Amino acid sequence: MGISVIQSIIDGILMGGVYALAALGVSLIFGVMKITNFAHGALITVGMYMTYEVCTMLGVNPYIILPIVILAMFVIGFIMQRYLMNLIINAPGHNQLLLTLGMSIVIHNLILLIFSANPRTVIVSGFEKAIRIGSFTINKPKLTAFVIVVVVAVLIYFVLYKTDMGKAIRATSMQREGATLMGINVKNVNATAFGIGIACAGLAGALLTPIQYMSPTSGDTYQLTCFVIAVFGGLGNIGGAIAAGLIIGVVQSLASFILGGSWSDMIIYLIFVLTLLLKPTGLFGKKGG
Amino acid sequence: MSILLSAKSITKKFGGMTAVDSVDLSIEKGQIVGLIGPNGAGKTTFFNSITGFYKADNGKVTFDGIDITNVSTYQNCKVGMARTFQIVQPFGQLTSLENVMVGAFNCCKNYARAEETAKEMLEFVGLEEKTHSIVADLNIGDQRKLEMARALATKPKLLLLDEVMAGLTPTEVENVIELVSKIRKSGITVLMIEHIMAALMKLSDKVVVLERGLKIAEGTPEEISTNERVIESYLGRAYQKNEA
Amino acid sequence: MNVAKETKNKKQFIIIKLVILIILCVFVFISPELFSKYEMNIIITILSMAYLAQCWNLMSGFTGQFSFGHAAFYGLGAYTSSLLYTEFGISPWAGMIFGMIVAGIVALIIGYLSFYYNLKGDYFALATLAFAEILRSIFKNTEAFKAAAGVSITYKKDWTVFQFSGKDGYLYIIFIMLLIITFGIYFLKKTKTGLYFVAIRENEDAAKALGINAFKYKMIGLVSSAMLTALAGTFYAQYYLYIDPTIVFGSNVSVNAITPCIIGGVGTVFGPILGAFIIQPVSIITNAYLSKYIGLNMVVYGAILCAAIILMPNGVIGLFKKLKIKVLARRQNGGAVG
Repeated sequence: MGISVIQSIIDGILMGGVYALAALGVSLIFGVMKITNFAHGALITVGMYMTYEVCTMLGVNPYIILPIVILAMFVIGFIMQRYLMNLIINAPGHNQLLLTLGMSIVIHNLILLIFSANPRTVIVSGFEKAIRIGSFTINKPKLTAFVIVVVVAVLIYFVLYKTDMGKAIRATSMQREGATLMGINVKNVNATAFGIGIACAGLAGALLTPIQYMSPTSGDTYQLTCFVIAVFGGLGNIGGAIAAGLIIGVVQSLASFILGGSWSDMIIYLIFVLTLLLKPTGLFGKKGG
Repeated sequence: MSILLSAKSITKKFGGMTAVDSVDLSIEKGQIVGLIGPNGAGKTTFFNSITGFYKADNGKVTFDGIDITNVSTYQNCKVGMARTFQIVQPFGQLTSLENVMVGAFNCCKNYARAEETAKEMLEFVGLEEKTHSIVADLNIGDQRKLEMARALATKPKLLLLDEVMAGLTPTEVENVIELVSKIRKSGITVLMIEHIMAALMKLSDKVVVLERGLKIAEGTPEEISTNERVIESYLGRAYQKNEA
Repeated sequence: MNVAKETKNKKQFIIIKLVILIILCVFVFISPELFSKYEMNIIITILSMAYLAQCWNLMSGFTGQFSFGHAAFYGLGAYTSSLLYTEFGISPWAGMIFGMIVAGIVALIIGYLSFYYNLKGDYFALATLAFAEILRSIFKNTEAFKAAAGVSITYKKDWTVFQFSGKDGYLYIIFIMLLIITFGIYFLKKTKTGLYFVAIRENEDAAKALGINAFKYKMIGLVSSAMLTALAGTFYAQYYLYIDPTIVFGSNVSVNAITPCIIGGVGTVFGPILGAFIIQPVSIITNAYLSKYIGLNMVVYGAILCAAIILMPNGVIGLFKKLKIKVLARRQNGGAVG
């Protein structure tokens, strides 16, 4: 029994890493633009299908094409924000929310249109057998995903804290109007931040490709999970998103183990509601909600 | 004269900063009391703390004999206190008439009667021409008058004005001075925050001065304009009357 | 304009509106003779969408509290009336009322929690979404509610159990429902509650400073919207005779409640109806002609939603109002210049 619990926790941490990456994107976007991105789940799905398609076409290992996926998703995000969402940047908040909702409907159904509803996955050669450490099984795709997430998280830290663009992004997220006055090109900052956020979503999707079966509606589940994690960690708080991702990953894993798969979703939603009610600024709360 | 509002030891802190520090203020029925002080002195915070927008950390507020300390904002209005805002807060998509009607409904349920009251108030402040204009289209002077009409429509006993003259032309300021006099004549007590010294001194029976959250002086306009401490912190030597 | 002429114009206006209304009712009454069953089905789906959208409009359009979880109330209405019928033989006519009560109670809980903790804007929208998902999860996993298998209602040509042999009965019912709620909203605008709703939407702080108990009015908006939405759920159940957690608690219901309002005009009396009459036919036509491309009609749906938000954020009605103002202004200026 104890072993299964620890196994659960291990799996939870590994998966939590991937969720954390996606949630990081949500948090970053909200921090800079105050937009709740309802299309995040859909874009995770895009990452999944993009990876699947390129892998199958080129016949290579999904991990090799990650840089391509990251770049492509960044460009998609940048263009989306700069040329679509920017059009209503000054509209009331709920309009932006609804626009991302509309985009998610379009994206989800475009995927359905292009790829049909058949579940797909990618089998990575050499990864079929899991690693065994003592009585614990560690799934290779999950482990690889976790390692990559850690690397990417460090990279993002560097970008945000050591580059000029990163500083501009952080400045804009703290004080939007002040940033313009300081000569920061807010339009580019917004688009870049959104691009990074979407790149995170896409990468998360790419990493999930060899882990589970994908279908056009996979995005829906991830959408809410990302949000729960981002809010739980404090919207705008990058470190918080990562910590929250790991915590929620473990919680979900344990809940799945103890209560059964279908009820584990409920726990996540309950955590969400409780967070929104009791501490909307999140566990590691940044600015007020 | 009876006391309408009595605020004792009102304190409001934000994190480590004390915005309002143990301020006492009392207003008698029919008075116009001016509240002045440099930017950041805590004037609007004080307003917010006695009208339910902020929860005062300490202190007691009595209005017309009733303890209203930390009562919620809408209850404040029900009791008879109405306020305007430093930055105008209109109902943007509604007409002037509808804006004022929202205030008028504080006292009645009937749509037609509220409409009548609203029209009266618009006339009172001099905005009859703009009765059916969308608020977003009005200029700042009219928006401020509208906000006053809206607050007046709630039939308050005490009207709190937060810098109603800010950003107005000299003619508009004169207009508002007349309006405030008219309001007092109609039996409503007034507490006003203002930066336009001449106007405030002209209107007020009593002036209270805040600086960095503390009350540093209280008295008639004459007393305040010759008070060394006040001049030092705020008015500047040029305002001193009869420099001896 | 002198007062006498103004009143005369108003009276004429009212008479015109009444005449239009009567013509509309007659038209609906004789529809079964004019349209095929297939066409009737389309009209019924349009009207149900319009009704659902109006329910959402009542709350989100007027008090400005955007709900993304209206599916919660829809599903509760559908399940309450259906389970009461299949398990206890209670006629859905009565079950409908119970559905309203259940939805009302849940709305009270959701509202109390949300408004007490001052949830606004995005956070409130997300919270309502979460509540809807929680309910979907509960119904999907509880055997007593038939879990994922859903509830099937046996076909019986019996109006006492809210079933009709042809489409006529359903058409009349949904039409009356839509009529009642639209009338309600129309007259609400001329009441204290209606104005208070809008005041809260436009500026909640200013509203509170004018004596409005914002908490109370937001609750009234939410609970009445929830109860009316539950009726839509029951109607769906009785029309299609099958429901399951994904169909009635799914996000597509919540989206269908919002989209017509965005297209037609949020917070207007006729916006949701107009929106439904625009979006549903487009959806249906896309489906009919391009059905082999699965998912295309939803791509179009989503694209229209995006376009509406970007190009006409106040909906078609908002667009008309803007045009009207422009035309009037031009006429005034044109007259002055001569």
